[in-house]
Amino acid sequence: MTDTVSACLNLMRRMPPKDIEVNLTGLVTLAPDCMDELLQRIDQPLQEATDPVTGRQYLLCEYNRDADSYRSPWSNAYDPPLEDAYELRDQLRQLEIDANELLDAYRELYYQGGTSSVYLWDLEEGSGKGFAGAFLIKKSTAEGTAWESIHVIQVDPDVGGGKRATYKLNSTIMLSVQQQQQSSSSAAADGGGGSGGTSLSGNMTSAAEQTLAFASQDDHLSNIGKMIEKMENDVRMSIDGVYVQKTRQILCSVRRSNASAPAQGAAFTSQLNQAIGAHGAKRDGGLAAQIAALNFKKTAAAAQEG
Amino acid sequence: MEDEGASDAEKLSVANHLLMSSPPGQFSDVLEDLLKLVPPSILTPESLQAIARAYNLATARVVTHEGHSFVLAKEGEVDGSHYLDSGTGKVVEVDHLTCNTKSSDLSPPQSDEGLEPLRQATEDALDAYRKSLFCAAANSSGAFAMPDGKLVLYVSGEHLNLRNWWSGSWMGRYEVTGADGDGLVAITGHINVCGHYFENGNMQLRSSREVPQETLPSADAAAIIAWIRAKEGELHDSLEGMYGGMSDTLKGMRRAVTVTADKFSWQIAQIRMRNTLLASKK
Repeated sequence: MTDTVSACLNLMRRMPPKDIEVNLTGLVTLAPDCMDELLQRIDQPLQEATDPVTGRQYLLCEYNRDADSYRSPWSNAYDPPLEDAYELRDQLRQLEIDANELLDAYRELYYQGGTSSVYLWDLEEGSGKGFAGAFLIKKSTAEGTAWESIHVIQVDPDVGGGKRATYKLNSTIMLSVQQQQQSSSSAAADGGGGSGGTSLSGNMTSAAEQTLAFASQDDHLSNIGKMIEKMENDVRMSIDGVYVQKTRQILCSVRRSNASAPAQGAAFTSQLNQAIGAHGAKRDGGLAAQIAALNFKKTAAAAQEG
Repeated sequence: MEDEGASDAEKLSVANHLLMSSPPGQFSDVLEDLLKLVPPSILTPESLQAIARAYNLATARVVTHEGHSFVLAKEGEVDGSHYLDSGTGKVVEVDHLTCNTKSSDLSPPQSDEGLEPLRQATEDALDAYRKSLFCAAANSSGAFAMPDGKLVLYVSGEHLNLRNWWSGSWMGRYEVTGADGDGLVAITGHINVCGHYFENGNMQLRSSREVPQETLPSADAAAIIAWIRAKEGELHDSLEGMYGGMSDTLKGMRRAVTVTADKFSWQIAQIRMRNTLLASKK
């Protein structure tokens, strides 16, 4: 990896994850020679499209793109149609069809919605030696909350024709939770295009490697599937237990919630009045003293109410 | 496409965008990596000072001079490198890139003298509010009486622990208008919150809230600060609410276990049979 690429990857770990596309475009502007490597290494949000043949939704990524067309895993057709497009050998395509059916059922049971796609390709074209695949799942809501799983797997059967293979899995989970500013007033209209809002977004990457036995092509799918399922379960647990909680702790390490220090409590009120009173005295009465007197009445009243 | 390349101006604009997006306390880390991508002929010392200044003012950066912390504010700016410490009333020279400071003999920027008692009272009340709730390692607040009669207030905190891959900040900026008259005063503001955790990933909480304008019956320091406290508390509570609902939010995305609470069967024959059965039930 060149210094340039590692500088770009460092930068992406600091930039807001919700702006991946803008920032990736920016990095390509700064380092055009590294474009291919950056596009490959930096996971981008998955786009969805409708298969014009079957009408089913599928996911777009670098792995099913050829020129400006994308291949649907359902019909195997490119959209827009493409001459001389890359075609999978029959056996691998059959495996891809099965993989899509499996991941689709998996998605329904864990996600209860969303879209999934699997794309496979030969590692050394036509040799049938090893293959790789991208297993993708995306679920999003109208409010802008989204979960995206990108699993890239490489399958290397043992040399010498043994019935074992090494599976290398690289996974990225992208989570984005959006909360719009709930405001009934005109603030959103004149506040710079309604910029108010909260996002908790992030991406977590993880890798796993296993060497497992296989008797048939189907066994590859079951081996891969189990690795993906375990990976998703583990990452989901650390998102819930670590990543999200960590940002909550960070928030509380900067500012405590109001409830932790009652404003109308006697200590705060007297502190406030002392501070204001002191300044009033320093300035020979005047406005500050009046404010202090006024303030004392108000806070005393508030304290009684509270 | 490739032979055209981006112009210097385009590259500077990308660099500017990335630097301005730096998470709390990481401006210099972002810059360090950027300098590997952008030549010094584009990121000149002058342009870097200008970007760092914009970043420090936009985030109301807290700097410390001779043991006293203060907020870098546009309203306290004498020139691009000299700033009023509203707490001491003195002007301090600031290097925006390093945040190093030096004493200065320059006079403070022009302010509304008539507003000074209220400004001081507000600054003290804001200090008390900040000290009651802000626990960030660096935190400060400041009040500025502008020549046009506006009172501008800042509260800012930043907590860094980059060795353990995290940093966070909270910044509020408020404008009080009409405080120089006898009648109602108007108050408005915005709050920016950032939390960044980046061990084996990159998770960020980013929240920005425009607080709509409201009126207060009089120019009263305690009332102004009570309003700020309430608005910041509302945002804090809504963030806590989001965290409180996060288990359900996550469950709505991907369940921890399947609907049937079983591990998934990765056998294509079994899945086909199940699909056939489900189809026949419909």
